[in-house]
Amino acid sequence: MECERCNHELSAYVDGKLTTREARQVREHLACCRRCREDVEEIQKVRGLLRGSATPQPSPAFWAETYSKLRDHGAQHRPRRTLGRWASAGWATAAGLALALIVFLTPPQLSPAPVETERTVNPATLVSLHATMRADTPLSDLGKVRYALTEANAIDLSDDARLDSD
Amino acid sequence: MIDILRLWRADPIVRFEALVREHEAAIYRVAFRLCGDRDEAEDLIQETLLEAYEAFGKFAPGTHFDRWVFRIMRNTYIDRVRRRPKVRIDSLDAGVQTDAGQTVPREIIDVSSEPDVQIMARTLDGPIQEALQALPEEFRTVVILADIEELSYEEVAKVVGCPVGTVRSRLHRGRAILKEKLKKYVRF
Repeated sequence: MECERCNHELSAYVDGKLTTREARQVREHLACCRRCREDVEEIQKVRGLLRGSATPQPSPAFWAETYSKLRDHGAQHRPRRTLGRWASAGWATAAGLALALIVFLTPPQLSPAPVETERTVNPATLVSLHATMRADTPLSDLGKVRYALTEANAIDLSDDARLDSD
Repeated sequence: MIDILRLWRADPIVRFEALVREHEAAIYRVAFRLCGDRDEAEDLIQETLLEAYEAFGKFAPGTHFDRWVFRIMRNTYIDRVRRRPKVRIDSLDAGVQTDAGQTVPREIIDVSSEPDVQIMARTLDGPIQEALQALPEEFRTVVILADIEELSYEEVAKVVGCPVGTVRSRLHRGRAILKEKLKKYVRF
């Protein structure tokens, strides 16, 4: 580390504000530079003088006068109404909670059942289709009807069945 | 806890005064070191506290009241310095014009020979304050907050409103200037 660069870091070094790497570089430089070592001592002394300097004392009636002025001022004025950090954070939280409540308390909207649209099929087409099927598989109609009867109601289609078998 | 709640529900001026009382020594110290003069420091504190009370609604409870006041104090101080009338600086070597139009040598009173000034000079507080006053305001504030009030670099940065790196360099330069100024009083 160069002497000049190191010198700029010495105050922060004395305050323990350098990163581990920076502090190690400064220590390495200090080990071989007497001038910078002296600078470190001087910075420590200046800092010590400031920290140990006397605490100035106000004039005897100063604080009593100051509080009296403050109270007079306070009797006539109130602090400006501003949204402080807490207030704005409070409003943001309240708004978020309200939104969450609306979302969670609203009953889920069931998707409406699709309305069956009445199919309009030409009866002639149905008859023609049925005739074609019957010609291809003559027993299918009878089988379907018998199956339906055993499952649901007992409508006697024997005549029809006989007709079919004929 | 109950005391804190009671205080918080109290009138704003009562809460404000309680916080000022808690930090009055630090508030006075910073003002005095910034101004270097008792009367000026006291005026600065009163102006700062009235400003701070007006803005008390912005103060976030639970944060450092003293740091918040320091920030207002610094701004108030800068405003006061700007408002201060520009003074005409005369050379001490130049003569003084009399009413009759004659130029006569200036009489200079050497205050350093006065006993109370001598006493002050013997203590180191005078030279320290003198050296602080010689610093530009931005260096002085940083030195006062970091070295006298022992705030961290981050806290100083918040009060002054500059990056931490700037605090670091201002503090270094400020200490270097102080060292030069104090050399005649202290053997380094």
